[in-house]
Amino acid sequence: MVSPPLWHLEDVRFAVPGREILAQLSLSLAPGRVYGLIGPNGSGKSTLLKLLARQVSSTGGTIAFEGKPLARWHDRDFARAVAYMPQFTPATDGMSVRELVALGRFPWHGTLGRFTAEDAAKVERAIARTDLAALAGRTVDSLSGGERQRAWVALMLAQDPRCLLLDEPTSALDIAHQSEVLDLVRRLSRESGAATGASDGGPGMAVVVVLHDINLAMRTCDELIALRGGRVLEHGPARELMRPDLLAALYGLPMGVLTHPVRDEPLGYVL
Amino acid sequence: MADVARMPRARRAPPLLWTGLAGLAAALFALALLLRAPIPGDPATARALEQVVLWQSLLPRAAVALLAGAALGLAGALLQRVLRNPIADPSTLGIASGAQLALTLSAIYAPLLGGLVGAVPREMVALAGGLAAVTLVLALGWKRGLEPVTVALSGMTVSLIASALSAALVLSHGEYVMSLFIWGAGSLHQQGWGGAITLLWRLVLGGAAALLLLRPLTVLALDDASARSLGMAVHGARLLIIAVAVWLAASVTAEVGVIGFIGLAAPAFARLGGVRAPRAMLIAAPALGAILLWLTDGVVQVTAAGGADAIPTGAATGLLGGPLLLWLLPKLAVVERPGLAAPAARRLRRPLAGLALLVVALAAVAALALLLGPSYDGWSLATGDLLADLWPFRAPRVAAAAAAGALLGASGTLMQRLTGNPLAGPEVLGVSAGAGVGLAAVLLTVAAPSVAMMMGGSAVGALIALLLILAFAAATGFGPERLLLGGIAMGATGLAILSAVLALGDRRAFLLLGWMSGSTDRVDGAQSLAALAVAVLLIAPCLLLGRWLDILSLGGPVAGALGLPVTRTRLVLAAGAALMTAVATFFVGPLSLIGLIGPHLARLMGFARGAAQVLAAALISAALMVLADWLGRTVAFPYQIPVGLFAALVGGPYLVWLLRRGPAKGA
Repeated sequence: MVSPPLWHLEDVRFAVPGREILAQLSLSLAPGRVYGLIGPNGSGKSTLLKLLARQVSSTGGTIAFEGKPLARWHDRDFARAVAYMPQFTPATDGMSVRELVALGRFPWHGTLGRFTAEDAAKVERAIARTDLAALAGRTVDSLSGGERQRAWVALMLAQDPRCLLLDEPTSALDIAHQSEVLDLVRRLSRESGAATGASDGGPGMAVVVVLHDINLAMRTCDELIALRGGRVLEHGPARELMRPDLLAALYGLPMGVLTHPVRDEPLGYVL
Repeated sequence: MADVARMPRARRAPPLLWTGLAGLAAALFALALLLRAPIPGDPATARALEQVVLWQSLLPRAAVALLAGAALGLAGALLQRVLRNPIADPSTLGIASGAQLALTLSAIYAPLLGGLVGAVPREMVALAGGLAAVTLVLALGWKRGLEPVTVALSGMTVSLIASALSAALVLSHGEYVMSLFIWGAGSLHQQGWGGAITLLWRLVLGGAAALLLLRPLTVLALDDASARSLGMAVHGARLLIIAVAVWLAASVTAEVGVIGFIGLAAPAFARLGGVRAPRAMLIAAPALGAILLWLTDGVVQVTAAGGADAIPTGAATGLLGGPLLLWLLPKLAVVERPGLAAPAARRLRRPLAGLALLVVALAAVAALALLLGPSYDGWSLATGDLLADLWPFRAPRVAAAAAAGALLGASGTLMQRLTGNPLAGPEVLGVSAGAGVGLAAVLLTVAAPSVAMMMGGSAVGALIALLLILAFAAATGFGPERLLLGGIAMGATGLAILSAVLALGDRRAFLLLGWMSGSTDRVDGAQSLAALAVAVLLIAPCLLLGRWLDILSLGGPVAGALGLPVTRTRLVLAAGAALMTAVATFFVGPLSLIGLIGPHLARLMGFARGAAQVLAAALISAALMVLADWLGRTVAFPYQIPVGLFAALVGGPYLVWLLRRGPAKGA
């Protein structure tokens, strides 16, 4: 069975006065896969993610999610389908982990709707899936950096979405917490079809993640989308993009690739 | 000098522009001469009188404008250089307000103390006040290395407190009210050459001192460590230069009153024109200051030539100052510390029990205010017949104070949640002042406005102010400290407009003055019941919107990602907050700062969720306001200190204390 694309972007442009950030970008993303957006600073990765999240509007072209243009999605319907985490998560001002995660149910119950048993169950499941059960009563501010990121991921899971959008979720973390968070993201995408219970056993949750570290991206993602100067340089399975010529073109300096001695994965490095 | 280096490097056209502006100022002066009303009477006497007016009033006035402008420009240039702070000037550092407070004190109390104090010249009094204010401001900013934004925030807070104190003093000695207010707003009116000559001497001496200090001034542009490594006694040189600047500014205040923002604008414009070196700045800033003040005064005189009472020139420069500050702020290299919104240390296990406790506390305070009061033969507890007699006097004001406090507390909570800034509040963000401007607009345009119209006007004014500040915040990325500065600039602009209206000195000005100081003592039963009803009607819906408040405090991106229509919910809450502020300020005036304190105390007590915080803040603020009202009518018995001013005297130091604690330990 050929599933329809989850995301379909055609000729998407985004410009601010005096500068074009994305130029004529076309992409198709399938459900159930982890996509990594890579590229140098200013290549438009974060902008592309914000466009997908409807945080900003494109200045041209069309973006469709599940075949429906973004502008035609209602706010809360869209938030039930797509969850977004900004690069800098805000201070949570004394909120507990469980309270934060419960905010993820807002798209479902709305301003005045009742917080049902189903809502509560979804919250608990999101907490369990991110291994936060022991910390659920703690305030978010008191957690470590990695735990805090996991709490935000749990909030996104509580939205019960079909796609996660993560903007550099590891930028402020040390190497141990980086892999903790990214392994979680990868695991969630793998198990999502069965574990959410809500879905019909179809393809699981898609993830689009902006990552700076090319090797972390290789480890985490099924496919990589290499952006440079607002254009897609190449889009394909992660392993296939790890070539010296592509990395050199992407970052504008000579790069090499060797094989990870244990994991048998390609590793990029600067020559 | 990283801050200044960030200013846009402009093309070097301006000398021509400045000459043009000077020409324009001269032309306005000439126009003012031509437009003034002819003196009636026989031609010979009239001509003689006109000569007198020209030589003894108009020409000295122009000279004073030029000299005061130059002195302020020089003071501003020195302060900005020495503090490495492009928004330092005599008004943002609280020097002018401190000097004004000292002069008000001496005007009222010197006669009581006899010749001893009376012999001290005005200028010395002003200097002492200015120095005290600037010392306080610098002490507050010391811990954070005199970092520009902290210094400016402390300065404006000190300004606010000093102004509130001055106003309280003036109000409690009604006979001086109007003349002091006009003087305080910086009227340049002259009756001879005395003022001009005084200022000339000060300017010459100050300029000479600045020239002597030119070398230290150049070195101080580096950071302290480099300056010290060049062998300079950093603190000594800095204090000396600050003293010269304060003396110049205090002299101007003693002579003509508070003239805001010239000291800020002149060096800023000079920098825009490409002036960099200290020596060039010492010439350009005074020159530009002189031109700017003369120009403003020219505009004031020409617009007043129609016959209306002149707006004080200081109020007009205040009008220019707010927008100027808003424009300068984005250029400031501010290190935004995300830590400003530090976590509330603890949380209340059972918020409902906490709320119940607060209700009991409010009831206790209300009972105290109703029952206990001083009389001419000592304190008395009112019961039985006495209580029945006093009830019509005490009950309405207690109810009105409670309602106003509750509204301010709720409104402050909404604003803190909207902006994600724990220091936001109706007073700090300039929303109260906006309400005042709206009220003033109604008073000026409608002959006999009803209470509803006046409240509507202040609600619209408050809403416009709040929307402006939200737009400003969005444009500068919601940085908490910049937002506060923008709000204070907005408040300064609003208060400048208000003092311009106050200077009219007629019935409308008295209405406005009553509004500014708060008027719980004039509230009747029906009004107080209406206030209570409005408080309940406006606060109750907020409790249902707790989810909005929780989500919005996480900021726009997250709120949008959760499907909350961000713009619409922000607008709804902003409108609610503005309405609450408008109604509350109608009873307690714009200065109380209760809308900052209440929500803050609620957070400190551990009310973390939106709805609980709104309710807790409302209860706390209501209790505080009732207490302030009761204290205001008892501490100076038989005089009454207006409730709004009394609350500001409590709230101001609290804000200063918060700033002093700094983000390191949590706000």
